[in-house]
Amino acid sequence: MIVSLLLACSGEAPVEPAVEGPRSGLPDTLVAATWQVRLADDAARAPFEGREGWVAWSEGRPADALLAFAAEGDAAALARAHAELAVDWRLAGQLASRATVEVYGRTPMAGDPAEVAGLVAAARAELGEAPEGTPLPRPEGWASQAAPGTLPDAGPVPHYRFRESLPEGLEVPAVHPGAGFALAAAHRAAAVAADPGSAGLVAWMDAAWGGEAPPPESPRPTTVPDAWLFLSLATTPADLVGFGALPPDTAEAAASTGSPFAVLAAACLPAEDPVGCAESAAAGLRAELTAKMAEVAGEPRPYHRRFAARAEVGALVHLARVYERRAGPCALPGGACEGVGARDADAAGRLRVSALDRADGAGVSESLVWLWIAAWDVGNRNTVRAAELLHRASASIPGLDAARVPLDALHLRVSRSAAPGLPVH
Amino acid sequence: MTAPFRPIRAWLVGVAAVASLLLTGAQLSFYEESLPGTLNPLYAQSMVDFRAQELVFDRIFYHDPVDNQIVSRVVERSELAEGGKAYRVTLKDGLRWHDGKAVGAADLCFTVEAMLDPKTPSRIAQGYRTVLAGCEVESERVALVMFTRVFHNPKERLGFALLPKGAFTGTAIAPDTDFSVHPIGSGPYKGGKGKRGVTFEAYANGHHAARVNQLSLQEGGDPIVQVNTLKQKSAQGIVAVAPPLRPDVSAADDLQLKSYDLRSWWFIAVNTKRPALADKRVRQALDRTLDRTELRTLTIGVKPGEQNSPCEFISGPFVQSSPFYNRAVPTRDKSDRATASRLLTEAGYKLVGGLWQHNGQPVKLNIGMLAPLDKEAPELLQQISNQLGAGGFDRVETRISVDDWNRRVVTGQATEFDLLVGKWSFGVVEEVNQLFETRTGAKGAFNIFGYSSPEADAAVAAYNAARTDTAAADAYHKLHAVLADQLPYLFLWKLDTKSAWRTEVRGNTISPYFYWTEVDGWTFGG
Repeated sequence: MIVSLLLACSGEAPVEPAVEGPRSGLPDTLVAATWQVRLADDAARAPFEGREGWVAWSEGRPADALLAFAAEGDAAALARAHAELAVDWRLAGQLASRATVEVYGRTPMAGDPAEVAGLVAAARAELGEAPEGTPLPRPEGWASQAAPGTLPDAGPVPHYRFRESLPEGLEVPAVHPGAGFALAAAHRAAAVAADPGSAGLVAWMDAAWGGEAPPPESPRPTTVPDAWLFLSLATTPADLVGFGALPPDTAEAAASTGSPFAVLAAACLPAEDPVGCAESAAAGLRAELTAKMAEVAGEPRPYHRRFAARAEVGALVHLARVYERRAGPCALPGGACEGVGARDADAAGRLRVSALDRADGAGVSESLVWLWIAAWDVGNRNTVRAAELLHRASASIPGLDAARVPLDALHLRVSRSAAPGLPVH
Repeated sequence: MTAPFRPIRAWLVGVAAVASLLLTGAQLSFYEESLPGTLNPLYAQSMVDFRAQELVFDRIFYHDPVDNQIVSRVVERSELAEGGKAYRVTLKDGLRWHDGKAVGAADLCFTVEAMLDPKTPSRIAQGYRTVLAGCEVESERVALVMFTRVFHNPKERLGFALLPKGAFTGTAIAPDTDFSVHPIGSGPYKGGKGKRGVTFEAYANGHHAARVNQLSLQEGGDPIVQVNTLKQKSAQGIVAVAPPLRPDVSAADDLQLKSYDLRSWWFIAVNTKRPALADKRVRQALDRTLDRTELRTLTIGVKPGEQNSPCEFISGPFVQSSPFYNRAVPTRDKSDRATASRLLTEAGYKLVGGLWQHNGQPVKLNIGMLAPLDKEAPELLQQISNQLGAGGFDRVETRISVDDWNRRVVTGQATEFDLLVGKWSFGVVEEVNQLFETRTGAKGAFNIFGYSSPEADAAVAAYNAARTDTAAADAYHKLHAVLADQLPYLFLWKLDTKSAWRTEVRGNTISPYFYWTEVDGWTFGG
């Protein structure tokens, strides 16, 4: 059923034989270990078929999926949904905080309400930067909502209406920049409450997407339920908990970690054309998985392409994160660098865009990717794409549009201080 | 059993080496929505114009498409001067125009002076007249650009294309000169416009080293033929691929969809000056006669309930993700023929033999559409006409060429039409004043049918007078509500633009709005 639904919503063209393209060069054992190949077998995939939760997940509706998993009583899937929504909310928190800093901290204007100083200080604190002034305290009660199978929210938006400091001043809507972080914490707690055995995974997944490092007592998980892998951007457990991790020096050593993404990263890090290498490697992974899935299923099927596309997008995200990590401070918004750091930062940026292109092109609706790019865009004051991506994600995650309030403020400021522009056809 | 490990690094290096060998003499063909109307950057009127000009000219400063930083290829250094009301710009050494002459400070000052010259009838220049005050040549490569006031972000104000002084006889630049067809720029390509296409030849320069030798812009015809041509390798790219064909592109392993960040929304402008359409209730009836959901399905290919559709309905002149969009004004997704009939009856219309009559005469709607829209939304004109026909209106349809659209529609001269289907595109600036303000002097320059409303004018005036961002947003929210009520436009949808490129084309970063800003990094392996 899920396969037929995947087809129905994508409007996919009939299966065409794959054009001979690049290959990833992965060992066969690693290819065979990917969820895409393992679950190309009808019997292995049967537990996921005909379920409302997975249909919603495949359509990019994680909140609907969460509620369905709760109704179905699938603790592992419910924990995974909470964990991914936690990452979504943390990214939204970063976006809102960064937008607050950019609009009121970096480009203040006469007339800005006096209270925004507290918002900026709170945003800096949420981002782990040294706050200047007294941060506006987080409203109470957000973090205590941790019931599995429910969607915590941060109350009515906007949280505040501040008066502009002009005689004819209007009310300016505002949200507390900590809302996203608070709801992320609530989702993480709900994930663990739903499935106490998932605590390590929850921590590692959060860290893999830029959250705090897991505590020392939480070793990197080596086995992961398929409910955490199915329709994810990863291919294996090692990929899932290792997004963005720097690989070992050699492809052979990377292969021993069980992470196809690490193998691709090890091969591309020394390349002269990092973006070209990464895109070829990711496309090669897609091609190889597609071919192997056809072999397992006995014939090519349309959904193989979509499963493999997730791996391609995931590989590009991973490689972008790897270059970003290697670039260090050069990859931070506004980081002016030269040499290798600048090249890595540039590659990281281009691969982000490439990941988004591939996701959009292949119909992979993935709020993680959208919010990851939108949060980065906001740091670069690139508000047009950020607004569009947040708008998309907000359609499927209730309450997420709270982050829109500071982003709107930033866009207005950027737009009104840009060079003159005219409508064109 | 474990397969022997294949040395991926060696394989990738091999691929890169082969690809680099194939670059020599590379030629790349692509389809545009239409041919550019002009290659003179002062007179761009369409996105096709802007994109083509980006290949030929350098803008002084531009936003890096990856990290959005303001950068320049032509400026060596720059600094604030005269208390912030001026900006001293030192151009790089060794820059050449496409005729081989050196690029210097005199060219930069000439460009500023040309834009300030009131005899240069350019809307783009007119915008810059609110920003630029003058320019002095301080030395061969150093120019002092003066502003009308202190700007906190002066580089942002220098985003215009650099023009060669030697190509003009004075600072009054006319639109219809040979420069519009055979321009001289300092950008990565030397362009020449023919009757059936535009050819761009790479021009080696100190600041550009395009790796694709030649680009060939062709006007896209049937969208299906465009995609098939791409599959057959007879062309390498389509700038705007029709949404119904995107799944087909996506399914082909050797083609790739690429995002192109552009804010575009589609509309039907209504001729409020025509007696039959002057009554607001008639325009509201037309609005309710349209079934946008059906239109979108039939022309864009969006399926009912589809998630993340590239096409999203709008109720006013902004995309939904914009802070200027008034979310309190609902979209009208489905038709409501009963209400439409009531409104028409109240407005004095009579239904005779299945067709509405006004003052005893049958109403025949003359509907026009910007012709290239047919390639993005196939059959849109026909489907709109069919819906209006089913609603009791007789009608006649016309596809309007880009040239006629520029010459007659945008200038407000196409008054023989009742309805005009078009789209507007925007970058980070979303000002719509010129579309809806009463056409007087420099105001309302793109007001298609001369719509005039005190309420709309007041909202635009409030926007112009806004001292704060919130006041500006409030003003446009009011404008949105006024327009949704008075309906000089029937607002349709925003539509994402996607390009399709063959996978042999690598490094093809697409810049928001200007598209080709990073073309130096594009490669094509044949």
